[in-house]
Amino acid sequence: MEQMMKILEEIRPDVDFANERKLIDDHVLDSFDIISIVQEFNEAFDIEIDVEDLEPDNFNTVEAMKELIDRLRNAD
Amino acid sequence: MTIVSLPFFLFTAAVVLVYYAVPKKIRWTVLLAGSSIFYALNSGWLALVLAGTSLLTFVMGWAVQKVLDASRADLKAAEGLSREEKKKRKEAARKKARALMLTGVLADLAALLFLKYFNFFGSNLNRLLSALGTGGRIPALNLLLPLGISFYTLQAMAYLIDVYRGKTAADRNPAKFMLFMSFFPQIVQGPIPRHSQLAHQLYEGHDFDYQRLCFGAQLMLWGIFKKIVIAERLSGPVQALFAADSAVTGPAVFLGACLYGLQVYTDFSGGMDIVRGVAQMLGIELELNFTQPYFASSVEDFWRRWHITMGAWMRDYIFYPLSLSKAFTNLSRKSRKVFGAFVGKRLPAFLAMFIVYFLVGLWHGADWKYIVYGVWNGVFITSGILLENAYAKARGLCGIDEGTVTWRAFRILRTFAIVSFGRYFSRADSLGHAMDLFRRTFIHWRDLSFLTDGTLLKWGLNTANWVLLAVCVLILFYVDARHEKGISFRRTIAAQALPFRWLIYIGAVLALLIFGCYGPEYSAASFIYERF
Amino acid sequence: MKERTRRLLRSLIFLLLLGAAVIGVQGLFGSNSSWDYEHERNYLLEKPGSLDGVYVGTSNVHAFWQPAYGWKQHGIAVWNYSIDAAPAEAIKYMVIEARKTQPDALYIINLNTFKAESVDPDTTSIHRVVDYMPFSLNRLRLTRRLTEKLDMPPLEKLEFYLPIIRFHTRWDELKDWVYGAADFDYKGSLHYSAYQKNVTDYSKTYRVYEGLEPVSDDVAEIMDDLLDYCDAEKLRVLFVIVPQVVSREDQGRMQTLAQTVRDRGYTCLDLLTDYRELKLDLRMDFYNRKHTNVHGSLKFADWLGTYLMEQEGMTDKRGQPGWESWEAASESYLEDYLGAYHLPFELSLENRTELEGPAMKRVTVKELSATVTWDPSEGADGYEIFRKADDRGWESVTAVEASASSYTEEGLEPKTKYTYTAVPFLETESGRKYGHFSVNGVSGTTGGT
Repeated sequence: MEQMMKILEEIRPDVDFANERKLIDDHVLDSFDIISIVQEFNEAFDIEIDVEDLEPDNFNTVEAMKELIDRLRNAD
Repeated sequence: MTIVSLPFFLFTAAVVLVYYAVPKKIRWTVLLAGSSIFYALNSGWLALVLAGTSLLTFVMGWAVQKVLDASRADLKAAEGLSREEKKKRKEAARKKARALMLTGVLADLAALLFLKYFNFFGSNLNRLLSALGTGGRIPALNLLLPLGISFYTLQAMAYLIDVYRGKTAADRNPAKFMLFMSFFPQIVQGPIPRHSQLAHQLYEGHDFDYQRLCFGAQLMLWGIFKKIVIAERLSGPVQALFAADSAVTGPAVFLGACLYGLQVYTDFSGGMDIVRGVAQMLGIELELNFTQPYFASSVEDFWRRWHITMGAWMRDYIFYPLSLSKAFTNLSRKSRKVFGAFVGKRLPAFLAMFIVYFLVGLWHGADWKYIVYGVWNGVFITSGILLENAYAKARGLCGIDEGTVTWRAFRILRTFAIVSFGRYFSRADSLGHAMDLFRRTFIHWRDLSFLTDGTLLKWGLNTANWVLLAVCVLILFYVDARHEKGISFRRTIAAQALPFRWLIYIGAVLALLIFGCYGPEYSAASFIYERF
Repeated sequence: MKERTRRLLRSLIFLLLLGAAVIGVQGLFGSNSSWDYEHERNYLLEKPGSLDGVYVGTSNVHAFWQPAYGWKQHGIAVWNYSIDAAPAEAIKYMVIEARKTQPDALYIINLNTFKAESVDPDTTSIHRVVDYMPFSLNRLRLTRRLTEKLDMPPLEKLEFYLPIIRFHTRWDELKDWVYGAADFDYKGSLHYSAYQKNVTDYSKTYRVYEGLEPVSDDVAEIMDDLLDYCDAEKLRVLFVIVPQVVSREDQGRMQTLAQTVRDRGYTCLDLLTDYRELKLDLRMDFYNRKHTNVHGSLKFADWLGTYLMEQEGMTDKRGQPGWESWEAASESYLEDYLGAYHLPFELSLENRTELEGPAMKRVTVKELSATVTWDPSEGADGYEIFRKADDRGWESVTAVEASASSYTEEGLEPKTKYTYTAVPFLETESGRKYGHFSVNGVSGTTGGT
């Protein structure tokens, strides 16, 4: 979780990730950010986030992102 | 039958009446019948092209679904298999499904490419061939475009990919799928729908809802206002300013681009309002395609607010897959060594973005000017991100506070200027003409005399019409500003007492009748986006 | 269920209100000729049942008959219910429309309207006839009749039922040609510069032919239909053929129609053949082939006015209460619109004679005096000299004896164009009778200081 927050804050230092509930729906993060986040997550957690996983529901909150990462790690 | 014409209004009224008159279970057949009639009336035998694409897409979608379902059932049944074996089987099935999906997508695309881009590729190839000394050989074909082909092709491709990705379940009833592909108000110019969002709305019968009917009608009125009062009125000045033989110089050329931008916006978003209004009367919610684009603070923001369903399509089916593809990821790794981490990490996304804007340009039309138009926007977006840090530093040095109204206004105006200059490409007759427009803008760039010396009146509008136009644009931006704050006008009106409400409605209809540009004294220009 | 009925009822009321509003507003928009507005809309301002006559037709009515002059000269109220280029089919419906407020008036109809071989109406002529009629079944029928033969998709014909579809484009001119037209109260008399000023010589081309020509089935049917209507309604009708420069065929057709009309017991005045009755001067009384100018029109109108009083029993109502608006209209029309363009004696046919006029030679200006010269003509008792300064009206300067061939006027204004004409006259027991004259005269401009 900590590592995740570090990555996120590095990409968008101006966003309050802990408290935002609609990161995607409110356009806080744009598609460039998503790509950066996915790249970093993939490298950091050795997972492969697929195009199919790029759903607003998976990225709207930090908790959702964590869930996604956990799911992908366990799947292997 | 254009969507701002008496036949269309009568047709819509008839469909709405019949829709609510038949039993709920078969209401979708009314929509199917209406859509088929509408399409056949508009495109004649070209309806077969749509029917062909629909049928093909339906079959492929069904096949993809079957493979996926079989694989799932197979895995469930095969309890005892090892994890590797399961994965292997799953991969095999996915590979098969993927092949089917790609076949369908490419077939849909082929129809579009052939009908819309054959001549473009042909002539470019001919030029290349003749440059190589072999002489041109590909003949130009006189191809007619079926109505809405650029929109429904994207829709069909999205459907197949979504079925493959498991985002929606494939349709089992070809008639219902036909309806999804041809839904009559939307087939003209979108919004480009997603199967998961729209299909079930079409198939289930909706209860009659008086207020929704009224809201739909109001949305239509607002769209008609944008189209026939503003957009049509602008066609005179825009045509005059962009005429190939126009010698206008200085800011007047830029004004032309602004007016053209306004024309495209009111025409397209007005069309959207009409389409959404009609759907709403039938109980169907279509997706928003515009959210006040002229309040955008950056070029990127602008394109997020402009033709939203198109942008989302490009993002989900081009941008994300490309950026995350193995090839792009590898490229990123390698380039980090050369350009450093900052650029390297962003390179795949930039490349993908450029491809997206290239495609958006190409989608608008088979001409180099559109491609340059796409790239123009791509450059501003990527540079905005690339130079983000530098900009921030510069702002710090100049002591600019980002929170101020003036800064926000400046950003909106800057975005407006960039986007408007971009219009030179999309409106000009050719790339060369666009360049000439740039040249002419800057030779007398301070000459504002056209505003006062009567030149304005030579562009097809007299003083009264300019004033009316200005008033209407103010109304438009006022309403947009309210929408930007999330205030719904229709609810405000609905809250008024009955006589007031009626007065507003009647006044609106009369205003449209009097100030609209329609009828035999105007030659109606067809939808700017209809044939894209 | 109750709620549903209430909703339905409310929606219906709303639609009715909306329809009424649309029809109301659309009434403001019509053919952008203010004349049409004057002839059809201002007609409705006349007190029902008050008019002596209604003259129905096309421009072949309003270039000949001037209601304001009819009142001025004879004290009769005969309105021009006439629309430029109205198709022959429209005449019956125009009579029906006019009769809604003036059922007992004498209806005068120009047969010249019916002569045309082809009677297919075009967009403009339909709009001009239909647009300013109040909404009614008659208007709908007329619109349907006129648009029947138009080669146009049915929905596009809607512009004739709701002219706003075409004419809303001129919303910014609305006040000029609708409200502006309402300001004119000349009882539909013509105010048009060509009518005032233009003079074309048709002495070589005006022909009267004899013999009949068959009319087309269309025209015969339209005529029969009209006469059937007149019969059924026991309408008082007078048919007229006004003098025009037209071909042998067209004259033959008009003669055929005249015969039809007479066979059915109606009167037809053929003033094309009998143009001498009007003392018409073919050299100066027309502004184009089909229309008289102010000079010819005054002769025609005086003649017809006299006829209407003697043969149709119309009476002089000048000075009677209730006719103030006609008094005012005739005063201002003659002053504002005819004043500068006719010689004073032209107002009455009675003081005219067929005496030939002199050939005007020239005006010689010497500082502030002018000498006008002419070749005297035969048979005159003398010449009355008329003079016009710039565009101000004609004035009588003096009378000279028959042997004179020049006249000099002193004390003129500087920098002014003076036009002179010498009119021959006979002195008779009933006063001075004027002969033909040169309406253009001769002119010269005084020097300036």
